[in-house]
Amino acid sequence: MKQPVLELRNISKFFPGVRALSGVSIDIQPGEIHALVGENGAGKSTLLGVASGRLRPDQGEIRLQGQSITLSGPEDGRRRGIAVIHQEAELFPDLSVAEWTAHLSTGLPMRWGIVDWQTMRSASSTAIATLGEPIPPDRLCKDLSAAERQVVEIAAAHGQTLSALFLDEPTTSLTRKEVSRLYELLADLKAKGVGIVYVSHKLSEVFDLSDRITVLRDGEVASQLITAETTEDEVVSAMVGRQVEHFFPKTERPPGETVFASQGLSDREDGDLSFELRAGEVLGLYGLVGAGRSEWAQTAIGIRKAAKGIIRLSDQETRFNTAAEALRSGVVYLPEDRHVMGLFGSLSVGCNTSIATLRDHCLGPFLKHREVNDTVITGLQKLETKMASLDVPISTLSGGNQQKVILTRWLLAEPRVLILDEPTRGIDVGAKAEVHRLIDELAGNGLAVILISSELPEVMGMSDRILVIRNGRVSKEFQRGQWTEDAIVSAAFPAETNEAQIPEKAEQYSEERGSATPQENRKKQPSTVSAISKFLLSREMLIAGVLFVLAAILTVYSHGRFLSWTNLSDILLNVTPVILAAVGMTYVIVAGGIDISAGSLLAICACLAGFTAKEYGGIWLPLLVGIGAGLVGGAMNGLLSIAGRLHPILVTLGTMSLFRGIFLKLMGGKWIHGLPESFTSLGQGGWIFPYPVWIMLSVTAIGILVAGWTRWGRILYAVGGNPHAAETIGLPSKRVQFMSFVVLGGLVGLAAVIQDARYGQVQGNTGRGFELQVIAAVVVGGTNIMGGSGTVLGTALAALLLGLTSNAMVFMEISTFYDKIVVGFLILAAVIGDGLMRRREMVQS
Amino acid sequence: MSHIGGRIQHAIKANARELILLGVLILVCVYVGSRSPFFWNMNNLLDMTRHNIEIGMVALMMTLVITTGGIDLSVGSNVAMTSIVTGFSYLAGVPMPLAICAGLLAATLGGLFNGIAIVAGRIPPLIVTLATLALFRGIAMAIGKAERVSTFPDWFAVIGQGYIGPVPVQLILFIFLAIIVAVVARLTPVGAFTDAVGANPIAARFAAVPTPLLLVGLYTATGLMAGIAGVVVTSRYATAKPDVALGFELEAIAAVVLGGTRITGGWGSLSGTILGLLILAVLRYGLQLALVPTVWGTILTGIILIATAALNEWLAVLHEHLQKRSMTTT
Repeated sequence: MKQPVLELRNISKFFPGVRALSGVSIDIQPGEIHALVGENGAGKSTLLGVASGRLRPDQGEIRLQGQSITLSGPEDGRRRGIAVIHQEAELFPDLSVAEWTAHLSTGLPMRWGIVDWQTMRSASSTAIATLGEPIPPDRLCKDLSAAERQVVEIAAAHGQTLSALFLDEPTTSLTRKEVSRLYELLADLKAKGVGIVYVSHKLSEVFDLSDRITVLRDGEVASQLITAETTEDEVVSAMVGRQVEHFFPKTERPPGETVFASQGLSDREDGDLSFELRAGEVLGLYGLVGAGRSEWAQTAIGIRKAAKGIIRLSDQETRFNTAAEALRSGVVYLPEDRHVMGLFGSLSVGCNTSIATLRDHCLGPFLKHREVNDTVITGLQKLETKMASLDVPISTLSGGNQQKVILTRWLLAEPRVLILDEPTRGIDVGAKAEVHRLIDELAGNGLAVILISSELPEVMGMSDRILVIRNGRVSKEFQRGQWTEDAIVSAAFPAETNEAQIPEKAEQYSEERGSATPQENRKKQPSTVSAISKFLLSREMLIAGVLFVLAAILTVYSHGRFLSWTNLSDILLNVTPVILAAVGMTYVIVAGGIDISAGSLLAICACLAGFTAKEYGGIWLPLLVGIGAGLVGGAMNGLLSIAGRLHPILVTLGTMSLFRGIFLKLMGGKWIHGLPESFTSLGQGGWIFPYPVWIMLSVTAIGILVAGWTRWGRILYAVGGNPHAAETIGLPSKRVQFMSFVVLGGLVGLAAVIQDARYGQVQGNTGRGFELQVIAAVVVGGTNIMGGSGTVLGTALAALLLGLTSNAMVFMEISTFYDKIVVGFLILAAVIGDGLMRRREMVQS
Repeated sequence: MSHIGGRIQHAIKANARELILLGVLILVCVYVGSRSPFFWNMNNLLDMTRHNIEIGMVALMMTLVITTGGIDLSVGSNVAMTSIVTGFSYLAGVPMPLAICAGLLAATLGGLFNGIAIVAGRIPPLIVTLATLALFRGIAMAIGKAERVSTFPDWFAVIGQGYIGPVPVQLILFIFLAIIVAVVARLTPVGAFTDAVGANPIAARFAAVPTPLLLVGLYTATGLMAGIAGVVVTSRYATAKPDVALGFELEAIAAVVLGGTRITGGWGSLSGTILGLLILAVLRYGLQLALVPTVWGTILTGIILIATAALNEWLAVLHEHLQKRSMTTT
């Protein structure tokens, strides 16, 4: 054998109380596809974590090209040529493809300390073009298809000196055409001598692609096999540790009368699913991911909105609007994704079981606790669910037992129609068999069952009838005994790509690959016209437009007084503190945090700077003290929320009170009056504009630059958009989030000093309600309160708009008492407008 | 014997947070009591709760709202709006009972507006109630201008200043309201639904939980509760003014969080909230009684809030850790 590109030797990894890997050794040869298989929990993802550098092994060593190395993180791994493509592409919704590529490869290209967007774009399109998939670098990640995401990830890995590539279940959400393209890609990389590790559940893929197979079981290597010399059965028994019988407990019975029918029901206009279902029948729905099986089921029970069609039950024709309505008519659905759609992870087993049927056990409005408990226990026992007690959180149960709890939840409702969506996904072999036995038993009791599954053996083993779904329609119907595996599969694939068969070995494909030229690439980019219209419709332009109209109205209304120099600089002076702090708040909120202590911090800074100014005069010392106090306060917020892992609302609620108290203590019930002129000249003097306005304009300009063109700024957006993903690819998310609080603190300090200097005094109620003005500016400016998107320019313009509105009310002689109403309406208008825009975008796409 | 021991152990485990809070409360009481001979005077103890009772009423509902993963920042403004609507209706010649109803109606509608905007507009509660925080205060100021109403019928003062025996009237009102909220949360499906929506809103939709109805109901009830607090405040000060209850929402949230309710939703405790309220009340008034300047109360509130939250978090992590260990050893 040649020198392996990557060797993991004797790797062990422990988690609190769990031994995830123990003494695992695996070597990856250059130009080899090495399959890694194993059941859930066998240790595959931990091994990927160790190989990528995300997890540090407790024992063992990693050798890259024969050299022993220690990886400090995923970024380090990528730099050394080890790339991991995760199952769900780790996506940052609001970043561009170019930026994402950069984060995934060598990091953002810098030039003179700022991000070099030009290089980044061309590097991204070059990298992607070598794979023959033209994807414009300016497209947003959220607009990419699953296949495109994968291409970008591989391209990013490819852009470096790639030696080992790990793929985790790469074909889960790909169409057959896309799968064959992926195979080409892998063949290509293989030819270049890259060592590829291919993790998959689908044994057919493993046998199509791989040269060798490593089987993991319970954190150990159960077997290492040469693909050409083994069989699927051998691999499966290595996975489960015993011989597996392909036996499905299916009893064939004559079906009863029709109890349920779908008449053209679909959530999309071009879909059309019609079929009838009889009592005691198990109807299998097979199809590719995205064929519309789960979508149909969710439409049937009212979770998705139906575009057309109705449901016929024995006694009524209807469409359900909520899951509760469906439940009342006896139609229930076990969702496909247990963790997202099924479990209440932190709640007790009892609560998880009874939640859907609580209303059946009420006397008037009151719950009959004992009755609920009894039915829950009986129900869980029937399925032989193992748990310590009803009170333990469901998250502590194994996958199989969790699934039994959720099944019990629906069985307690005594349904007539039970829709099971991937009921055995992610549970172990033993539990699988129990679920199969249960399905047969339920059908025997006269229940009508719809079984949605991507596992062909399961569908074939358990169903009385199979409907193959394609593009939201029934492509073919099979009766039990009339089907073959091939017939079902070919009915599932779209006709036009049917001939693009998956090759025996990937090599065969590498020649036919066509590559796209950069010209073609450019064609796919959005036209200039739509780019301009997009810019015109952006939040910044919208606010600027409103500002302009408002200013015009005011000018006419006030006979020009509005445009006077004093009035204009007054408006700017008034909004200066808010804008300064709002720039910092934009960073904090974009990074996924929030700070409601800003007003109290402003008060402390103003007070300390005021004392200093009174004592020593001058500009610089008070400035230093004010900003310094702000930095310390911000650092405290950052430290508690990031290092202390406390929710930022909570932390800043506490520090809000703390800072306010310290401020009151410092002031001792008095105001600070008569600050010396040597200090107030900062706030009252000026050149063309007052000095504070200059400061505000430069901070805004620098703020825009920092957000768009520095590494720190860009990482803020990545972290806020998807904190988990940022962690996985090794971005310094904690440091960046911490710094956002510090920067906000510093800016609040600056705002405080300027406010002192302008008024020449510090009042007892300084900064009350300041945080709300600041947050209002950020929100109206279009920043997403959940993080990930927003601009400094938008924030500044919004703050100006809020300031101008107050000014307008002075001119229109509207009492300032209406001020707050206007602010409230502006926030509501902004967010409701956002919601409408988002909905329109969704409809358009 | 061991059976009883086991049950006690179980009870301690299940109520660890409440027990910690009780410990903190006792410590604070002992400290304040040692500083002032007047602290352990029953009348003082009852009187000191006055200010916190209004916050407490709102905090009861806030506990449920935060448990769903939401928040309501508009309650303080809603209190002011109620006060002003009540006061100015009376000034305009509406009989006092009807004026109170008008105030309560305004507050309830305010809560309803929050709920509908959150559910129908799909806007994060933080933003909706931030907007209505400004909006309701603005309405109060627009009606009230710089004026205030200070002439009310004599009987109205009973609500906020009267006693039944040695017990302030509003304390009895609070206990009554607390019982109602606790009954709804513990003895009807509402409590389970609240936990479920906070723990996993998507799963709640799949599990046939009536989320929209629940949320609209909770925010509306929070509005009504703020209204009742508004009436009590107005009676206590014998004044309706637009700048009443500033920062009220934060004190209510502080009590809830201090009580151990998770700010991200999914877990809440009404008894914890009441203990949290008591700690804050003792701090504020006890320190005042011990002639410690009030500002120390504000500072301590902040420190206690962060410290308890950190302790809660630490306990939760420890708990998870232990559970994982016991899982793998069995």
